[in-house]
Amino acid sequence: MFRGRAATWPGAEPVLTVGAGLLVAALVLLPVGMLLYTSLRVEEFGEAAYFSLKNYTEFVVSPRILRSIGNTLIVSTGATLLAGFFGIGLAWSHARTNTPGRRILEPFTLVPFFLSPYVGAIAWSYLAAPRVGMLNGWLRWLFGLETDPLSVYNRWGIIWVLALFFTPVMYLFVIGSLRRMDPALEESARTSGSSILQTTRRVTLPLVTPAILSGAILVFVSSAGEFGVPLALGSPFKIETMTTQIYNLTSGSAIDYNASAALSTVLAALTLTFIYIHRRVVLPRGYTTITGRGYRPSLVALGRWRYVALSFNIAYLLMAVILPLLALFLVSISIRWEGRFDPRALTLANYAYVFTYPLSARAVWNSLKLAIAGATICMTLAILVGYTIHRGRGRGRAALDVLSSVPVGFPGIVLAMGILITYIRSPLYSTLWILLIGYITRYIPYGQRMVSSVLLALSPELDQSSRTSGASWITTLRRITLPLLKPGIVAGWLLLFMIFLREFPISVLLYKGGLEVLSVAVWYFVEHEGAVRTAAVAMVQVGLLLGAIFLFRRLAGADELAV
Amino acid sequence: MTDYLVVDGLRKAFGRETAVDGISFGVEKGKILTLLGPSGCGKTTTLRCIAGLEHPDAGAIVIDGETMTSARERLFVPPERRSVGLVFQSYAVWPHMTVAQNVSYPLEVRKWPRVEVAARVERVLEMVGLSRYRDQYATKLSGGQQQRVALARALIFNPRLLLFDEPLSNLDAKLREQLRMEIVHLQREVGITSVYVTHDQAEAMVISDRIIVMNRGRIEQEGDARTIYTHPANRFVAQFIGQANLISGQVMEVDGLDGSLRVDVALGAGGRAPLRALPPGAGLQRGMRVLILIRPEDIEVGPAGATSRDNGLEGTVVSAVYMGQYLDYQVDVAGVRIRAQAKPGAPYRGGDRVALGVPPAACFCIPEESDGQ
Repeated sequence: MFRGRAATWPGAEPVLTVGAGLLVAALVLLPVGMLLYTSLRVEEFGEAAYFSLKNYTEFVVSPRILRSIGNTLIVSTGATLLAGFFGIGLAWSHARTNTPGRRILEPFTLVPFFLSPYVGAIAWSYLAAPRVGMLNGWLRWLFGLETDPLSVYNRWGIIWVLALFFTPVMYLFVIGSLRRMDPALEESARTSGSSILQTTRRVTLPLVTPAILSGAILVFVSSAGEFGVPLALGSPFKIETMTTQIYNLTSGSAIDYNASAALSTVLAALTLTFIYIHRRVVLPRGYTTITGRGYRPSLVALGRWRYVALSFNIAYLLMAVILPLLALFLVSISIRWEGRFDPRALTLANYAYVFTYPLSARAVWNSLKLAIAGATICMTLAILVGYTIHRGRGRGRAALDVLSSVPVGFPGIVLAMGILITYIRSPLYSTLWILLIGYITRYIPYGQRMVSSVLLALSPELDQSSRTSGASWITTLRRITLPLLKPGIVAGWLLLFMIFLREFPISVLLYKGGLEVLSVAVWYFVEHEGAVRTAAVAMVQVGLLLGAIFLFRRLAGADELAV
Repeated sequence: MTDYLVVDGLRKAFGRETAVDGISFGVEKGKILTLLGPSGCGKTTTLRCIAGLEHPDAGAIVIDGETMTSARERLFVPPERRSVGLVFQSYAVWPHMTVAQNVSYPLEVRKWPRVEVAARVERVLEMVGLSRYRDQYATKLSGGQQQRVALARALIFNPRLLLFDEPLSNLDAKLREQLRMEIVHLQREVGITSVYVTHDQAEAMVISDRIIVMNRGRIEQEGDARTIYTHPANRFVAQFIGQANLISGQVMEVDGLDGSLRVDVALGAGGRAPLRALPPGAGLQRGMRVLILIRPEDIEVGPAGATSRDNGLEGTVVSAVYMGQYLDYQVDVAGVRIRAQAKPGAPYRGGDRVALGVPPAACFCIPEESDGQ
């Protein structure tokens, strides 16, 4: 509106903030627009393409696709219920009971949050697949069974693995709400004459309900958008979900981008509806119960039941972390795998193979390159966008806020579909750049929210007093804002680094020969190599992720995780 | 003489809310002016416009003859080039820097030589009494000390203007009074032109050379503390500054000799009583409707029947509260509630009949037409 007197050029602030805003808008709007456009086109061989709703009215409602939609709804609902059971129970036992060892258990409960559900599904197939599952072997031996009691290759298996890996999402919402609650609310119920269990039921639980709903919606949306787990456990046995169908339509013999785009749009509509309900209905109902007082809420003394609670905790950790990682590790050091670990037939050759076979060796480097560059670029954009939203004064800040949050509502495979259509004819296609663009577009909301949460807690007057002290915008950014944002930036960078190391759906849709990343290598090994080598390449990914988790806890702290 | 700081026709709206509605004022060099008003009156927005932290919609701001903001000329000097020190209510000291780093920052960004910076930081920290905290992290200090850091940081680069945005509101009462005096001394000592924003009238009276009372984005009155207290321009100012009994009435007679007025005061249930008022408000004429302002501390409370010479009103004590220095009475005079603060020597209780004596010189008439409400 006004122009600085001495300034003849616009200055660093508008150039950087407007530039970042426009870039984010383009990154998000282009693939979303192209997806919608493509879904409304019909391109049949030998005919001119034309606009039509045919993809929706004929293709999406075909029995095969309806069945996959049904499967998505079933596994997502099942996973949400089961993750709710685990997450609420774990959070309550950690925050409100005297369960022994709860402080040690807490960080481990979050570990699945950082691991790859796809690798988790593969690990569970080593545990509970028919014939070659270790657990099946033990159970047969223990109970003298003739047939295998467990199988992961069905909807129950998908539900089980999804629930285990999305439990931390539910857990984080519920424990956050329990921790923020003013202890006086529970104390006044106690002084009003209700017992501690009555208080839990009548006061604590209702206050936590909005957080439970938030967690449930996020678990549902994540499950519906999850690609790796149904690909590993459902697809081989013709149990398709929406995400695997979207993928199937872009590869193999029956390629149909228009149909795939239509199904993607339907899936996005489903997840966006849930996110919208969450923002509009659930979040405003959340009770703000924060107080500044440092009193700890009183704990429920469980008596002998506390060992039951402890067993529940250990059981969860066994299923979600210890058993899958153990299975993966044992398989990866075995010479061959037939369902039983043989300590006399150990080898490191599988790892040697992973690091020498060109595809997997390349994948390690590609993943590291993409994770480092992606996290850096994404956080840089997030800082500029977050700053513009919370500190800027230009128009369009609300729109930018929405735009930079919207990709959260798009499952990775859907956004990847849009990006594929958008960039397929550009020179970026078949370079690592297209993967980078995919990663950044999908995960800019994570970075933005990390930055925003810190910015919201910082008074804008800290920046302003630097300006009145005589520092320019860019000096203020460098000397005041960035140092104050550092904890959020570090936490955000590490989180994105981990997410990019394990990213699968975007990568598998956008990669070309030479651009393989770790998850793609795992998938290639599943298809073309044996179990032992697959386990080794998966272990490489797990090892990198565990290292990053260790760094994350040292540098950031667990509270930064609630995205 | 032209003012050192000139604010001319300043206007600023946030969305549909008009925060500052076209205000103009000036501050002489070396003086301290207070913008006083309730929260939301636009005083802080005005201050932030002067600092360059807000872009006004209209108007101009001139410091020392140099135009800083002019909406008409589409001119806006960014805050860092205005040479204006600002002290925030929230202190806004940087938690990632020590006291010395906070205070030296304005000199560093001005690229002062290192030796000079160190010397000047030393001197300014001494001025605000923080020398022994120089290497501590600033936010580890108490609120009062943090505000001293902020003050030192705002002073160190010899700004042309020092701005205070409710700097003492986050401190407790004792500290507030102490720091208030320190700010006055410091301001006089350095002789820096200052604008001080507060909602606390006592603070405004102690600190200011001149006071501007603001309400709803406009200036209600400008003057020194005494004028604003004894001659409020309207009902808003009368009620905002100090405690006020405001009784509406009509001028019945203007005395030709001493210029005093006889005002017919409307009481409850259709009752009326005459009051004599001295000195008269300017230009009051017979028949005009007025508000009579009587400060509670000017009212004498005596036994019923013993009417004083002038302006005797009889009433019933509703409540009497012992406040140490005085007794705070609520007296019902024919349906009108009057507050009086009397020496604790005359202990009347609820239900007692009393006579209130109001010296004519303590009755100030505000014409109803200029009522700000």
